[in-house]
Amino acid sequence: MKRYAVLLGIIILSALYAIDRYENGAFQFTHKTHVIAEELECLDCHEPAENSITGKDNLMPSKENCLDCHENDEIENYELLPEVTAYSEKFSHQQHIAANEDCESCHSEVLQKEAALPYILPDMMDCMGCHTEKLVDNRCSTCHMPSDNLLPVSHTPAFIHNHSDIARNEVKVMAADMNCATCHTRQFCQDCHEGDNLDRLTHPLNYEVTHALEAQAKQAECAVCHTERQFCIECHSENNVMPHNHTVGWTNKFPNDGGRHKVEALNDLDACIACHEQNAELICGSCHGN
Amino acid sequence: MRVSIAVFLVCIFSLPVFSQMRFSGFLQTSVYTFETPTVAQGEFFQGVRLRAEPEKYRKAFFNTYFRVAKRGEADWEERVYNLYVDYKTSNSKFRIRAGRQFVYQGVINGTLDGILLGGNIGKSLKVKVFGGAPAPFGRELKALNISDNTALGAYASYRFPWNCKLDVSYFQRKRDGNTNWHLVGGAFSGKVKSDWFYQFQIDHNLESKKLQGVRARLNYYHNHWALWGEYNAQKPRVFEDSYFTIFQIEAYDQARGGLTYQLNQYQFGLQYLYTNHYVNQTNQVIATAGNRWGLLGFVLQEGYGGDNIGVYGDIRYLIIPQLTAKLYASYYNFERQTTVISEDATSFSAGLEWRPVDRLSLQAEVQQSNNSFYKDDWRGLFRLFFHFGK
Repeated sequence: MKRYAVLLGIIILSALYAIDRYENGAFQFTHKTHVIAEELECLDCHEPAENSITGKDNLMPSKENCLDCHENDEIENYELLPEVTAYSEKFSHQQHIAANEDCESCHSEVLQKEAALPYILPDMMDCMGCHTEKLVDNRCSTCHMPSDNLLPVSHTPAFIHNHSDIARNEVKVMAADMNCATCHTRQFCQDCHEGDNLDRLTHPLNYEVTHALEAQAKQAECAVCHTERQFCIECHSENNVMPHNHTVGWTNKFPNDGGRHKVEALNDLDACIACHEQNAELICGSCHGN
Repeated sequence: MRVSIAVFLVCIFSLPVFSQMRFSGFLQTSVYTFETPTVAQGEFFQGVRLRAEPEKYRKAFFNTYFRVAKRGEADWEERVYNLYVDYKTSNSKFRIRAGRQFVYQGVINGTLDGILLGGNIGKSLKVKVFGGAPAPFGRELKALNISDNTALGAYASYRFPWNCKLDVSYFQRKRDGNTNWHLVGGAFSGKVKSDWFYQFQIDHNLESKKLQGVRARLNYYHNHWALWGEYNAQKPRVFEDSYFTIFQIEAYDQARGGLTYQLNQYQFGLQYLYTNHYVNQTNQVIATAGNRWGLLGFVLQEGYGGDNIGVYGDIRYLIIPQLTAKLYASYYNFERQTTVISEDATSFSAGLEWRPVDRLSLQAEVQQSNNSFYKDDWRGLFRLFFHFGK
């Protein structure tokens, strides 16, 4: 029992020490004091920003910057200040400053900030909002490199199925203000939904012979895009698509039992319609009547 | 037709002479050739997207996207995907869009010729109303007779203060004077905390007076994880002017689930799909692994929909900032439920995309496939894409 009490005591003391280190170990800094009280300009400390043309530049003030005004022993835990070198490679402070943008228009309310962390860096929606409003090019390539992996985590293997409900009801599934239009134009929808599929983005090579697998498994609802049955019928009749299951006894194994075709129709009526929509009255009507 | 489009383009591009207009859009030229044992053919496609708006009045714009094509010896064909004028009021609360447009809102679905009115009433209510006709099947530059072919739709969305919203919609389509598609739909969706998203959707067929589809989905997103599950019951779209309406139409039930995990630059995905048809069942698993350069996928399916085992890879590798190499390959071994014959299908494509300047890209690609219908099918694609304006 005593052993457990000692162990518990060690754990509690370690935790208290860690909390103490955490609370007192942060780099103490307030923008409010520096910019409002001391009336410093942003570029006084973030001097390289003026000529920075990439988001890979670390624009945090160096310790030497601080030493211009402070004594060395006043600056504690400078090494705990993280560098920012992973922002958008194409982002140019120089360009934004030249366009007379205030620092606060991107780093909102930074002047009121009383702690160094967390940094206030604009997210994509901030950029998009401003670019759209000011009619600046807001295509993806303006900020993103072609090699960037831009696929959101929501774009799962089932997204080709899921996205239809998200699009049709404008459901926002990720960050609060993101929807399809954040990255895609309506053009993108139509390239897949109504394009010529020459680059095989919508349906890959060989889809002509494998599409029945997906159609029958109902992986996607074909009719969302192929709203007219004419689409299926034109191709099926042109290519004489003859299912091998239409064999003797297909319609009736025993008189009036419907044979296999009854089960197939109940299983997947879409497959029947794909060929027989136009001649159903003749083919189906001969038994089922009108 | 070509003359009318040429005149139209000349008119549009000459407008700046008379007024201050801002233009943007793109030109996409594609040459596609293929050779099968029986046919060798070249095809030409020219696509144009154009948006024009007054320089000093940004609340209105004209937008179109169309393409013309020449396939072998056949006549020229055109497809006008959209062609509309859009105007929104100075406070951006109301909008009118007139012309050909793609509408996919609630149960309204399709490319339609007509007028769409939209408005934001207060902060929470959004309303859209559409009236017009369905676009012709081939998207030709002509309108169907509106007295016999109509499309009417309405959509309203109300956002509650508790991170959820309710959507209701209505759509009626008439073909040759008869109603052939008539639905009303509702959806309730929202999020709990910042990680859980739910959606419930129901579509009701007003002609058959039966449910058309029901869907419920739950998504969970947290840092690098995405998990989801879905239940779906769906009936085939049997339009009211179809002979097949005489049959009792059964819905299929479906359960889906899966996950995605992002590990640094890599993304791993898994999906399981179970479909319960009237008598038989289908199981399907799709697994993927990818990063910014591409994706590898594995498909396994068995049951009523057919048996299939397949792998595919899709790579887009940036050689230098202006040059991307594209590779795609796939292998499937499958047995369709209707043929019960084991078949193999392989495909391969390789291409390069060169972007000498930001606005211009040139793409060349060779596509090859082998399957039970076409042995050694070769295709070539050359594409030029030019983006203009802002």
